[in-house]
Formats: sequence, structure tokens, C-alpha cells
Amino acid sequence: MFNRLRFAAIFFALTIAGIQTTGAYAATVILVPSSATVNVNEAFTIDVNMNAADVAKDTPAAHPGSYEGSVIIDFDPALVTYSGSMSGITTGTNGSLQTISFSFSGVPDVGTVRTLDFTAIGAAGNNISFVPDDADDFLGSFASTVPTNTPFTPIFTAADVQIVPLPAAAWLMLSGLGAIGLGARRRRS
Amino acid sequence: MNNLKRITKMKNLLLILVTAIVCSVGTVHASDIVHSERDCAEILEQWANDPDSVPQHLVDECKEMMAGVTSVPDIAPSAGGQQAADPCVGSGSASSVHCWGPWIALATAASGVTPPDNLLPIDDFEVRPELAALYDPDPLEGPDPVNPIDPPVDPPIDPPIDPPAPPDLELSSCVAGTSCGFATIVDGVTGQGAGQDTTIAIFDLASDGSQFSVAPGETGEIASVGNMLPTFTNRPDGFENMNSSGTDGDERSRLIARIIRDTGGSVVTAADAWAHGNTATSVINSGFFAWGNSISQADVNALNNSAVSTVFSGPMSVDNATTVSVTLNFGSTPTWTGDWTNPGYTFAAGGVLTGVDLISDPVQFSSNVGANSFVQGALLGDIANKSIAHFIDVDITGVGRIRDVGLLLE
Repeated sequence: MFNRLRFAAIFFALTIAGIQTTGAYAATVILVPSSATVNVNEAFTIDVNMNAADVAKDTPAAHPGSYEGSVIIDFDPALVTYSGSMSGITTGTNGSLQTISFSFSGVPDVGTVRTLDFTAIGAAGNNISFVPDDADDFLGSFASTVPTNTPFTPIFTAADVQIVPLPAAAWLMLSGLGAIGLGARRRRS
Repeated sequence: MNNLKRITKMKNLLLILVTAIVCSVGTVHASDIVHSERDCAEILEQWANDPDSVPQHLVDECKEMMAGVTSVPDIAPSAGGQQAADPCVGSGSASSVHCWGPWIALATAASGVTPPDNLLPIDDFEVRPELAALYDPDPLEGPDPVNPIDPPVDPPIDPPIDPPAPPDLELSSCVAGTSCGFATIVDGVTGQGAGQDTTIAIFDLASDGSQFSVAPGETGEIASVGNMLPTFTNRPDGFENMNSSGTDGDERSRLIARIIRDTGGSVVTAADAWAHGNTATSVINSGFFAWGNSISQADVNALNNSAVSTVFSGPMSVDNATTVSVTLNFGSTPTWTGDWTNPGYTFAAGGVLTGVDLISDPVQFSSNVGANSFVQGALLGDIANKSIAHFIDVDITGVGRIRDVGLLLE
């Protein structure tokens, strides 16, 4: 297996170099969680949003559904677990991290390529980091296929989700409910 | 004595009788034999009165005999007019079989006949003047007015001229009936690079998509791994898409291409992106390509014999905003012209088709194309399904160096 961090650095440099020398596209893949904070055991989603509007140089609007690629996302399995459909999902590990990866094709140049379901399982106060990358981080997997196959290397943006404790009001409410229940039990006895 | 007188009298009577007979029979018989100048004088006098009454040979003999006594004109018959008296006088004399005409110079000296004054010297006869003009268009400038036809002069023999050499090829020629292709090469995986950082090379591809080579057989050859596994998906434009990748130790290779396969499943035409690298050295190269099986020479010959024109078009691969239209004019000297149109520039080129090679002619570039610019391609497919793989390596005024490859379909 490759040292992902090393190659991530290489490809970041190459991508930047490519952009600088050609003044070409700046496609992006951004992870967008449904909420910035979750409670323990709370389910949430992350949208994988791509914007590659400027990859196809001719007329992108003429062939909006012609993009493909593969995404791999790392996360800490002690804090979060993937709870969505396994269709088209490949799981793996990267050191202590867990990975899920998927491919897409025939998608628009701008939009959500997939929505992933997770559940926070870590203790409150932990931060869950979702780090996306090209599933083929050596030669790349992203391309616009119409009118010609044009590979591109998007800029990936990670997402963080904070696990938070239940609010104080919730604890007060639970205490009150407990007290009411205890009083009712004493009156019956 | 009496007998002698009697004999003499009888001779006189006989002479008178003969003379009377001759006179009664006619002059023709009487003058068949020329006896003297007197006889000739009588014969000529009779001929003068009636030219048809005396045989011509007698007239000629008498003319010869009388030449020393008196000139022919003097004895020329006067009766009946001059034209009738001498057939060699007048406008028709030159063509008369009875006259020397212009050939008087060839008459034998023994004839003793003095040429008539009214005969033109031979040099004054214009024989087919229109032909003479052909030989000497400007007689005034001719060296010899008597013989205006200059002696034939062999035309100068120029040294043999070699046929014009075809324009230079930037890459090696494509052999008809073999696979041919071109590729751009850049560092890294972006697949796109500035023209000045891009190089052009020959490209070859296995017909099953399992491996490829850039600059095969040359220093710096980039050979893919040999076990790439292709997958095929449909496209909306008549092509299929082929994603092919493979790993061999530290080596990794990838193709993503528009392809056309034959009925046997073999890839016959392909274009777009290639990449290859080594994970240990982190050296990666990538680029674009256009490749296919070139047309056979027999098909090229058939197309040239038909002298048809075919238009090919399509986008370039590095910058697909560039669209191309190339017209190939088959014939005894097949040629091509093309236009490349990009939102940032346009240029035109033209050249020849040599074998299956499209070669640009430097003088046929549009004025915004600088020196050391090339367009080269190969005619692919067969008569029914032709295509062109080509590359451009041009210096555009105000834009810079553009290097790109493209697959064009008819």
C-alpha cells in the first residue's frame, strides 16, 4: 500500500503546479455534513459535493452528465461508524483509520455525487474528521468524459463534526420526569 | 536524151503530185518530218495560226532549229492573241504541264530556251508562306532571308529536376496498414500542461487495451505495465469509453479513452488520456493521445483513383475547446487543408498526403503561425470508416506554442 500522506502531498503539489502553469480548472470536492454537531449515537449525513464546471472547456452545459471519479474518505472508527447502504461502497483501513470509497459516473459537473450516512458513537467532546481524497491518489480517477476524456484533479475539502453532550435542559427535563415518576410510584404504594 | 527529159519531167510531176497530196491531206502529215529551216518556218507559221494543228514535238524541234536564226518571241504566233499563242505566258503558266513555270531553273541547258522575261525568279515564289512564318516568325530578324528556316537547334537539355521533396516530418512516418498514433507528454498527472512544457511523441496501443507505449523504441520510452484491465462503457457520441488500469510492482498505468472496436472486440481507434508512474520514485508522466490502425495502401490507392474529397472533424484532446475541420482531397496528388478554431485563437494549415501521412507544408500555414510549426497526422481505418489521428505543434502569434493531439472522424 502507498503512503497516502506522502502521495497526498505530492499530488497536492502537482495539482497546484498544474493550476499555476496552465491557469486551468479548479474543480473541488467538498464534504458537507448535515450538522456541524451531533450528539452521541446520533445519526447524520455527509454530502459529497463536486464542482467541476470549468473542467470541460468547450461547453460544459452541453454535456452536464459526463463526469466520473472515485472518492475515498477516512474517519476514526472509534468516533463514528458508517450506517448507510453498502451498495457500491468499499470499506478498508488506512492505518488506524477506517476508509470507505465509492465511484460515480454520469453525474453533473456541479452537484452532490453521493450522500453518506453515519452515526456518532464517540464520547461527547470529540471531533470527527472526514478526509476525502481521490480513490486513485497516484494517477487520478476524476475525468470529464464528453466531448473528450479530460482527467482532472479536484481540490478536496474535509469536514469536521463535533460530538456534543446532551444540553442541560435535557438533563433537567429527564430529572423532572424521573421525579414525577418516583412520586407517582409512592402514591400508589 | 529524150528518156532523161522524160524522167526529169516525171520527177517534177511526181513532186507536184506529192506536194499536192501533202497539201490536201493536211499540214500534220506533211510536216511530220522537218527538212529545213524553211520547213520549220512554215510549220511555225502554221502553228502560230492554229496551235492545235501541229504536233508539239515538231514545234519544239523547229524552235530548236530556228533558235540560231531568230528568237522564239519573234516567231511566237500572233494570231488568236498572245494568251492563246503561248500557253506559258499568262497567269496559268506556272501550273501548266506544258511549261517549266518556276522550274525553269531546272531546265536542261541544251534546251537553248531563254526563260521568258515574265517568269518570276524562283526566289520570288512564296511557297506556303504560312509555313515559312512558323519557321521564322520574324523574317526581318532572320539571319538569312533567302533561307529563312534556321537550321534546327537542339533545345537545351536541362539537368534532371528532382520532384519536390515532401515537407519535413516531425515524427517518423506511419506505415500503411499498421497501428499509428501520437501523444503529448507532460510531467505529473494533471494531463494538461503549457505547450512549452509539453513534448510530442509516437504512441502505440495494444488492441485489447492491456498496454501502451509512448515513444516506443526511443530513448525515454514510457511503457505501461502489461496487465492493464480495461472496462468499457457506452457513450452518447458513437464511441465507447475504455477505462484501463494496472499495477506491476511499483509501476502503475492508466488509460481513459474514447474507443471504437471492430466486430471481434479489438480496439481499432482510440483517443484521449494516458498516465504512467512509479510509486517508488514518484515519477509520473501523463498526456493525451490519438491512435488507430492506419488505412491500407490499397485503400489509399483506391481513394486516390476515385479523387474524392472527405471532410474530417472533431475536438482536440488536450484542449477540447479546439475544434478541427480537415478536408482531404484524394487524387493523383492528394492534398489536405484544415482549420483549428479555439475561443482564443484560430489558424489554418495545409499540406500533402504522402502514403498515409498528412504532412503540413510550411507555406500553407495561416499568417499567424510562426516558423518551426508542424501538423502531422495519419489516415486511419478503411474506405468505409476513415479517421485521422494527428498532432499540432504550432507557434501562434500572441498565444505561444500549442501542442495538442486529436482524433477526427469523417
